[in-house]
Amino acid sequence: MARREVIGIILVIVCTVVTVFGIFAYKSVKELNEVTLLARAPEKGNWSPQTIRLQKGKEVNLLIRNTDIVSHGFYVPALNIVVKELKAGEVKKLNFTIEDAGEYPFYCVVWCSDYHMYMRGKIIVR
Amino acid sequence: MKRLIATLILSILAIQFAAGEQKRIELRAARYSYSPNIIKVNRGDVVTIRLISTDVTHGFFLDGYEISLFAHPGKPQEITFKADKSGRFSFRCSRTCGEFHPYMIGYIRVLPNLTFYAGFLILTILGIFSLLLLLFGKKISNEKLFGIIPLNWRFELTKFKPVRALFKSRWFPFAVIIINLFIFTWILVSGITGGFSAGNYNFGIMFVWILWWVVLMFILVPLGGRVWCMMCPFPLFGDWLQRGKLVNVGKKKPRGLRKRWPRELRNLWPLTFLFFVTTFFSGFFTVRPLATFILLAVIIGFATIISVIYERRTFCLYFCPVSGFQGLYSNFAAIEVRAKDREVCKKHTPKTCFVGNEKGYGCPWNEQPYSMSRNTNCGMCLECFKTCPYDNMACSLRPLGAGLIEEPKRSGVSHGSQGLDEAFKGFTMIGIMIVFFLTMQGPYGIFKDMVRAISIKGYLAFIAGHSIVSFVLVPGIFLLFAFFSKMVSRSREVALKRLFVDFSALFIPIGLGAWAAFSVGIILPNGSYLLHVISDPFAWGWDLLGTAKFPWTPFMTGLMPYLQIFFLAAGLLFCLEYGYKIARRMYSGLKEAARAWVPILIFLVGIHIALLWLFVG
Repeated sequence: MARREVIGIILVIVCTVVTVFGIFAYKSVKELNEVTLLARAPEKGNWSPQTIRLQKGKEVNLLIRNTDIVSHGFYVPALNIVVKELKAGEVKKLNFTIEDAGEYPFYCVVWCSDYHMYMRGKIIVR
Repeated sequence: MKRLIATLILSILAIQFAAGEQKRIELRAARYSYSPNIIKVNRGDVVTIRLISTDVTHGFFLDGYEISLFAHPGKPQEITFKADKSGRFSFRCSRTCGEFHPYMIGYIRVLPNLTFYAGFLILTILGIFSLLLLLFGKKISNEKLFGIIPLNWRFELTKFKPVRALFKSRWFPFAVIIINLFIFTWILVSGITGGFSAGNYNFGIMFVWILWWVVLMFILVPLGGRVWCMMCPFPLFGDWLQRGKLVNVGKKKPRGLRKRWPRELRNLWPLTFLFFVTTFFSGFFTVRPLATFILLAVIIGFATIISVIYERRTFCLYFCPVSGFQGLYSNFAAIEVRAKDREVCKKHTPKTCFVGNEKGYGCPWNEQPYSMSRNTNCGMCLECFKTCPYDNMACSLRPLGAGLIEEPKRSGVSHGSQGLDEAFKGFTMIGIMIVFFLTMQGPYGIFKDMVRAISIKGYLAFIAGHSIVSFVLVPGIFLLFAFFSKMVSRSREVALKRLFVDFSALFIPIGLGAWAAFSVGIILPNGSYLLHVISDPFAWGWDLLGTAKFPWTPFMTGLMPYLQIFFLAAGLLFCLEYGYKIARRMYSGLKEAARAWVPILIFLVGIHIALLWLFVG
């Protein structure tokens, strides 16, 4: 009888607390080698971070997450990297290596708000 | 009627000889409406749509034709198509443009709207046929559904031993509740991590407002009544606190203050009111993950707190916003829990199904299972199967709608309210459906701006208008017809109030048909989001099941109007079938019953035609 009660309590804990921990643990393991870039319209927080610092010659996994309510785009002219459209809620993974040190500006390429032109950031490679 | 037939014939002729015209439409799109919002063309026209986005990138997807395009601001795009299907078709934004993006809709009316005429004919013929049957039919059976299935037909599911064993097990429905607890944990996490982002790529929003709501309105409520209440995880923690045990039955007295709910409020009024207030915020929690999280958190919190203060499932009975319509509509359901043989119960003291014993708890829903005759307040928690030492409880299938002609409560627990609470629950559900349709699936940007509260004035206007539709307009029109019914019956036998209350049971099939038709317009265009969110529930770039890349794909949108007509016609069919039976229950004379019934019949056909116009007209 008491065993049934214990199993029940364990099940409840597994379905709530353990599940929540599991979700976040899986997230952090997955994102161990990733750089996350949030895409939001300028009035809602803009690119975050707006400056990405990378090491030259080292491969990077860039995870761009659109946490906004409109589509955005991602364009690095100097590297010819372009994501034409990133829908609201969408996530895009990019893999690239930058060989030369320097500053590489990036822009949004979807007209996302009245301040769309201010939605820009830069990658600094050392 | 004559004019309608004439236009119909003329329009059919017109289609045969119509030469397609070239039509060019400049369609301006700005959050969250199009201008023009309603486009009229003739069948056979060659239509060119020039889409001009004026704020952010918008798209254009035309239901039924399944063509689409999108345009960035400053870069108009064109698409040309032949309008060879007649009817009303919604076009909707296909690029996420903001929180109300799923509600950004316009209409194209390809005239003549034959779909509407066909629906109109079907509904009218149903009405006329029912009337003719009344006038010339020899004998209409009061005991059979559609003259075929006896209304007292029951098929006991619990006569099968494994089913009874399952119902008597303490693991059931606990196991199902646990599964839902797991799903709702995901929903809550996605709600809080989703924050203010767009709802259409959010697991919580999609699972609650698309999947859960639609499954509830399509399957669970019409067929299973309160079967959702059976597996709902929200009262779990409250029950645990009250009982001190999670699965087992405790020997100690229940904990908490165990207050009794006030007598005057033991009806559907609190639920009607709470659900109605919840709908004021529909413009937030159906589109913002965080708002859904807050709503669910408040419900779970309240469920737990109320269980500590009040006895048993007071929360479910008098607080839960979605409990009211499930209770009311469960009278239509094809399932019931009842005592098998009341004689056995009479001799049995104490009534363990009410007070509980070592096998289970006394009815958490405060019903007396031994004499229960209506579904409204039966949460199907199955405790009475466990507590009955004689296996005298039965869960049976029954004809759809059989509960509609059970006497509405008139005495006993409810003090003088005489079933008006259930009547108003029925009215408000129709009012809410109409307002939801206009704001979520209608082409009017002004309503959308009011609902999402961009100005206080507009928001208050929405609240006022919404309340007037549900509490004044719908009941007012129905009262008028109830009054006609009394006039025409030429009998003093039945009071106006009783006519009003008893016939209002027909709002159950009206509501079920209308909500099913409403849900078609939600699930078919937007169901494909589910595939995305199930693989990437938190928008973190996951792909659990490999379906994360599945794009938004409206599904069989051409079928939508036909499904909507089908559900409305089915609703009307059940109304016509049960309405006359209700009239006969009230009047001792057949003639009076028939006369009193006719105005209500006209009302029913009328309201269904009005709904038809809303959906496809």
